[in-house]
Amino acid sequence: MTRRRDRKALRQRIEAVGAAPSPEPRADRVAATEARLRAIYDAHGGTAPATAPATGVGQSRAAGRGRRRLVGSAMAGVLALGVLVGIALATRSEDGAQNGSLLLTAADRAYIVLPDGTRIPAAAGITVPDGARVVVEAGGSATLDGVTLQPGESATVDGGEVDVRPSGATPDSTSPPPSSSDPGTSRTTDRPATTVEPDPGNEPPTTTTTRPPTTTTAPVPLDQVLELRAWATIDGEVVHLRWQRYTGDDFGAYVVLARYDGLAPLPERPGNVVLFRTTNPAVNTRDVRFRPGMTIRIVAVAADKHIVAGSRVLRPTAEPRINGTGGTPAGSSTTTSTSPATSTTSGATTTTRLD
Amino acid sequence: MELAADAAGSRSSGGEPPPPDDRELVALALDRADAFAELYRRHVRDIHAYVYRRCGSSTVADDVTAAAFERALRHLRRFEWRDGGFRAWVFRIAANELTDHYRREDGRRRRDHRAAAAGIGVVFDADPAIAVDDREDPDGRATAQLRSALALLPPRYQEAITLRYLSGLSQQEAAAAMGSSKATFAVTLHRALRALQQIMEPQQ
Repeated sequence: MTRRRDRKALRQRIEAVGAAPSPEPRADRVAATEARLRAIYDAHGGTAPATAPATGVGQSRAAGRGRRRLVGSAMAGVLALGVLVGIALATRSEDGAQNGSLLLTAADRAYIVLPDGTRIPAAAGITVPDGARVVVEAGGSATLDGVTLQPGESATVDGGEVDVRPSGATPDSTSPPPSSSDPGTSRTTDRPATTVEPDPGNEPPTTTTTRPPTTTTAPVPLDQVLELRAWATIDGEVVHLRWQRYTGDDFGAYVVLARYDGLAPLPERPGNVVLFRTTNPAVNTRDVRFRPGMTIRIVAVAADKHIVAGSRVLRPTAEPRINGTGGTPAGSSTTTSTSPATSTTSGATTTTRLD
Repeated sequence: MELAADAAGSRSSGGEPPPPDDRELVALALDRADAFAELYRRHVRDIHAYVYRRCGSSTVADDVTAAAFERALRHLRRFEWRDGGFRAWVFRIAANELTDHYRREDGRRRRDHRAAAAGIGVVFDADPAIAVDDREDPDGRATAQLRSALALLPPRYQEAITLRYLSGLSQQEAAAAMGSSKATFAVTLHRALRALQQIMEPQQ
């Protein structure tokens, strides 16, 4: 009932905005357009032009319906084929012995170095291909084919076997350094990810990324896409968000997702709130209202809504400032520096935790 | 006046002829430029206001409105009078033109980015033409807030709300402008409002 009342109020608010005057069209443009329209008549012997081919003018519905049916049938066929291919790929991946790949069943603070040197964040459920290496960072762990790796250890998948060794001794002459990736020479894989570390202390750098073509129609899990570095600073009740720009050709929009229940805003998890969306690839900042317990994740999506890059979960937390005279609530802060990597606040302490 | 007389002649009524309605003007416009010019003058402000409320830029609204009427003229012979009439039809064309405009802008921007990326270590400057929060905002904070929230909705929801509540079209006209039935439009509008409400709640 309350929601219905709220919706009515919202409707009235929109109508009030609609009732406000909007700018008039420029008189010279109106005159010029009218002259142009008349010129079109003149060019066609004083009559309206003969019908041009139909392009989105909302008429000829029967023809449109026929076309749509045809397109719909074709798309359904393609979709069905895609599903079959996906199932086939999934089945093949689950049977690791067939191609020497192994399933990663757990991962925390770990990453995978693919045979071509591409480095991707590790996550449970990823099938690690033959020749790839799982590296566990300090404080992390990973379980590969039932073998649990401890912090500092790494394991290489070798023909369906796990070859565990201390991380420091790992890179051999045949595997390139983990953080480098040359998309131009990369072997095509179904792991479309490359991580580029932003330069701390400067503007987040742009990342030009060439994503290898995906070979499955299933959505790519967020942990397997390009990492988008992101920062959050709190200034009173405002959270200033800033993120690394994504400059891949497949960019469609940035979306800022949030949750207020403490859970990570995974794209497929119900209950996310979209705080902001922009199709401008140059936009990489946004201010949002702070709420205790909020979690934020910034993702870049392609035009077809697939996620192409995603940040880790940001948990902006306001902590009392310790200044010798007792704590000051975060709400009393006044200014915030503009550099995300070296963000400081005067009047309040800002903490941003990355998961 | 001449148009009114011609339209009245076709109705065969006596006395002072009333101004021709859109339907009569469309029929006359097949062979007469002044009839289409009258249609243009009659609806140009509404279409311009609609586009402006969708995109927030008066310059873009000028361009898109001009393109919409030119496209309407080029397809006039195929126009069939339906619910909502000529006005709803031009609204729909304007919506499609706006979509095309954004597509062209996206393509241009990507080309610029690719060209720049061919250089070294480029950091791109913000392009104020499209950014949701960089738009012209002569109408104040409420409009800006609403516009930001609207921009987060899928284009179809944006279109439904703008046509119905910001441009003041009737349910029937708005449905026709979106090329859907009244029932379908009602559902779309309901969902659009619900989505807008969810977006605006955290902002309040």
